[in-house]
Amino acid sequence: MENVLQLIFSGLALGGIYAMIAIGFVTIFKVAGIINFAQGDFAMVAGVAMVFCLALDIPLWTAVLAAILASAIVGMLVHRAVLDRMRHQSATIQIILTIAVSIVLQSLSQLMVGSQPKSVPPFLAGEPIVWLNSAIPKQNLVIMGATVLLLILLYFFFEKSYIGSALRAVMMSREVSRLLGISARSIATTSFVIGAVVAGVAGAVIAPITLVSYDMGITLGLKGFVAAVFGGLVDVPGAVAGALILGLLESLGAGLISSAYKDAIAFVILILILLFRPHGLFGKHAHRV
Amino acid sequence: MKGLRIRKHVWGWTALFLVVMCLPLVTGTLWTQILLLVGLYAICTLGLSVLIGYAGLVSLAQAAFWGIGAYVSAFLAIRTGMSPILSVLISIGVASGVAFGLGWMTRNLEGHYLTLATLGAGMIIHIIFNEESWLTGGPSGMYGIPQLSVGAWVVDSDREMFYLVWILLFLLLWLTRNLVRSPWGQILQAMRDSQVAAASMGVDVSKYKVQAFMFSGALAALSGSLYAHYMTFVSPELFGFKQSIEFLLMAVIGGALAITGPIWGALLLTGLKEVLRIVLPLVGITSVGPVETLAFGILLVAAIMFLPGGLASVLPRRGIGRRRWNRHAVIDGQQRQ
Amino acid sequence: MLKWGISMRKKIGLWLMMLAAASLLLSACGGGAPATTPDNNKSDGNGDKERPKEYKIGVNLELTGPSSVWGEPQLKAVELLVEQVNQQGGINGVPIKLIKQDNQSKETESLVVTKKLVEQEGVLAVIGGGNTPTTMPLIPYVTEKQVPLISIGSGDAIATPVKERYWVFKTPVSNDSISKKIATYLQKKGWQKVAFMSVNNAYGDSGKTQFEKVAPEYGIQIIASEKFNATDNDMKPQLTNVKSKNPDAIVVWAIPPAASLVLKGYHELGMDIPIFFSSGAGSNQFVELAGESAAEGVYQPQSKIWVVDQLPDSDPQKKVLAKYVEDYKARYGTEPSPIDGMAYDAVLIIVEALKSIQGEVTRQSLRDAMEQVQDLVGITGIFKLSPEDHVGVSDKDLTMLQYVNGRWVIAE
Repeated sequence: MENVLQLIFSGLALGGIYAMIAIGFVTIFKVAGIINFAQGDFAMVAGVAMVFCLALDIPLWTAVLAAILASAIVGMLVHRAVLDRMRHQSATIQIILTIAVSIVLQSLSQLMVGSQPKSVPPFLAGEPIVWLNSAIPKQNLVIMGATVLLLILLYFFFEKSYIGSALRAVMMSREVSRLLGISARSIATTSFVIGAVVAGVAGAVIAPITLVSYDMGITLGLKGFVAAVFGGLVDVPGAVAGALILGLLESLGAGLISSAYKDAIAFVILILILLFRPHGLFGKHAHRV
Repeated sequence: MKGLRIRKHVWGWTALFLVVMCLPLVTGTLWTQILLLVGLYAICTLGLSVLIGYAGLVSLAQAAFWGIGAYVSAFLAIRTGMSPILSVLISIGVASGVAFGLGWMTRNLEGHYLTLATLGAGMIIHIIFNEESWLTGGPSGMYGIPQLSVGAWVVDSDREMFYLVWILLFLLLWLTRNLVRSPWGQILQAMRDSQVAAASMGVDVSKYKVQAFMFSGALAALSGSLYAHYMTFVSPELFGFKQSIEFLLMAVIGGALAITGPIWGALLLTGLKEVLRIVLPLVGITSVGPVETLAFGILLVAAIMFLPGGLASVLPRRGIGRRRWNRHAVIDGQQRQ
Repeated sequence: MLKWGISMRKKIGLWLMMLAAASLLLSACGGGAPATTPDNNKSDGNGDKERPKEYKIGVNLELTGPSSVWGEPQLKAVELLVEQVNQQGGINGVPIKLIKQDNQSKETESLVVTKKLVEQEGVLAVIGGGNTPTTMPLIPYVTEKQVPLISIGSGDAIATPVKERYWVFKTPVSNDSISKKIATYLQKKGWQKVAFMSVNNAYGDSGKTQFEKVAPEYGIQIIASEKFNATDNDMKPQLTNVKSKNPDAIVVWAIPPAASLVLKGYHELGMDIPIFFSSGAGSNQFVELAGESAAEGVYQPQSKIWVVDQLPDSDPQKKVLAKYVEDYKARYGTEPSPIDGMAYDAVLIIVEALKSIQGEVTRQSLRDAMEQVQDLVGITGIFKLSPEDHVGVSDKDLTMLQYVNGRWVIAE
């Protein structure tokens, strides 16, 4: 059934995007303990930065790097200037703060690139590749490639580098880490930067497909949360698996069942997971906030 | 001594009430309309405030319940010609039922997980509003909703609606104040501060959670149905994630623990938008939309950073509806991570 | 700064509150002027009943939000014409004053700003909304308040049934006529099995209803029907479904950006079935957002503005169209499109009506005059309004266009 195959390819690409958002979200939550409602907007920042750079005739790949850098900077600023100062407040206040930050980021983008969506050229020029009677736009390959590359890089970062180990230490226990001389504050900022970078990559690679607009981050963020819940909010592999499953289900659901309710699929699954497997699909940790 | 304290409370409330009642007489029609909307939002936010501040349950589905109130009441009034008052009451019942379902489903969830579950539920309800056209008119919305009427008297002027809404709001504030000071309210707060402790004292935590949700949903539906009959038109985009966030902001910024908190929150958020719309062009900014949102966002960030306990925390200690504040504004039983 | 003591923060908080309260009060007193009661004389203030100071016209468009693709060019066109009219001394010496409001592409906001225009500003007439969803809620209101409304939405329910739309007019060609145009062309080409895709809102629903009604009369069979949301960013699942049913042609009823995303997805899936878009794709952003290679070969029934240079000199619209293109480019530096043309026509109708009023200019007399506008050469077509027809243009004013080699041409 070539129909299904085509839907699967679209779904995997979609899942890759959700995975990147979810990874950033989980990283921030595990390390800084903050639910970041502005996660999708970090992706949007990258998209907007790309549009901006391209308008200034900056070459494509440089623009992509600049976009990711922009996201990183924004992530750092958001944590340092706003969230870090409020770290003693309750979780609700922090959620509200990230929401407010989200509003600010969106309106700044609106001012910079206008209210209308803007298009961005695909990274690899050319017609879609046809394989097994399904058409795969080249950008989808870029997305899948970026996801895999990111996962590999993150693995090495967390397992092999000093900062990565420090992050893992903080994830396991803040108190002990502090005793060991690791500054929880800069670690928290680092987690934000990582989260923003990963989201930035997502924003940059999806821009050619979905168009860039100031509100593109809202849905991305929401779907990213749902994917993260698959990992119980704290487990990266779970989140990635969840993201891919989510992408596939959305694509197949829209194609085979009803395009109207495809968004509802994500949220129904969200509730089911929360009710029956709140520790995530692979629920190992007895970790409840 | 006790008599003196009671009198202070009463003075505060009466003063506020009188000020509000006089407002339509001095403001133009634009502001009467804005303030009556503030009142409607405040009713909805009151429900959410109790849920967040006293029960410690952060819900992102408030706009969905607001919508249930609006659509059920509108549907009944249009399709069956029912009297609007009756349809409002039925819509409250329906919303309470749905809230019961949501509360019961999430009875074992806590903190962030609960919030995300309400997020999911709210989004699903919103999607239903958008898709089931035979019931809700779909994305085009429902118009031709009859205005509120009791017999021959139709509430068709902004001023009449204003009084109706604000008198209702004050009654509800009084009701809520008594509710949270009652044993029910005390148990709710104990549950908020520590579910484990409360449970070990023999409290049926699930039951109270569900009841809190139902209270919140009922108020939201009341507000929503009144809104529908006032606007005579509703559409799904009013009842989505964005609006739930707005109610959340109103609740927290107004002060989730203060009884009058919802008023300040609704007033600030709604009033601020209007003020910006008027003030910004004067300062020479023409593309008002994004700048307005930006200013709004920045002010929001500032408001939260300076007043994490909400606007009501600046009221004098013994003023109306005040609660003890501590520096960390523990709202939902969760200290910093 | 947050390390300040509680009393310091409270002081700041109090200041914030007082500031907020003060500005509220100020605006309440200043901005909330008691509304002018809708009496018959719509002259602004100093009641000179012979010659009012200015004609206040309200504008309610989608300046932000998903439909701003339509709203921004529309506003430009409106302002262009009003500027020109005022530069020439106005109408019988009276200038037009435009009062613009942004409905943010939201239905409820559209109603709210219209209320403001009518009750706060006391406008003579309202131009808006810019599309069908934002226009529908206004209809009961303007009918009750008796204010002429001229919409730039193309849903058929806006201006029909005329008996219930006494105060409502619109400039775009109706979905009924657009369907006929597409169906006629499909029949001519022998493409009978059609897949239909529409956006999930009042505009798309109206198109769907009309096309389904019209299609059988031309021997067209709708073998698939898919929907998508205006804010979706991936229509490939729906397109995949369509692809698998092997239609002879695809008809899409949406406006950009959704319309462009459908086209993009269609291209990315390597599809080459003839694809038609409704007139809602009549903005320059449509091709821009989809990409030139994706747009190649696309069909669209539309007014003639994009192909003005391909028209014979004998075409009655050519002069007006050419002038409009020239003026628009000179003023804004960009090309106009059918979408803003529709907004231009709205002002044109009002201006023409105002010119023709003999007695006092009131909302009622303006409405009556609008109904009498005949043979007005506009951008969308040649308007013939009447008490039975509040649209004035039909499928005769449409031309089937195709995007070939980077530009729109008249399709064969």
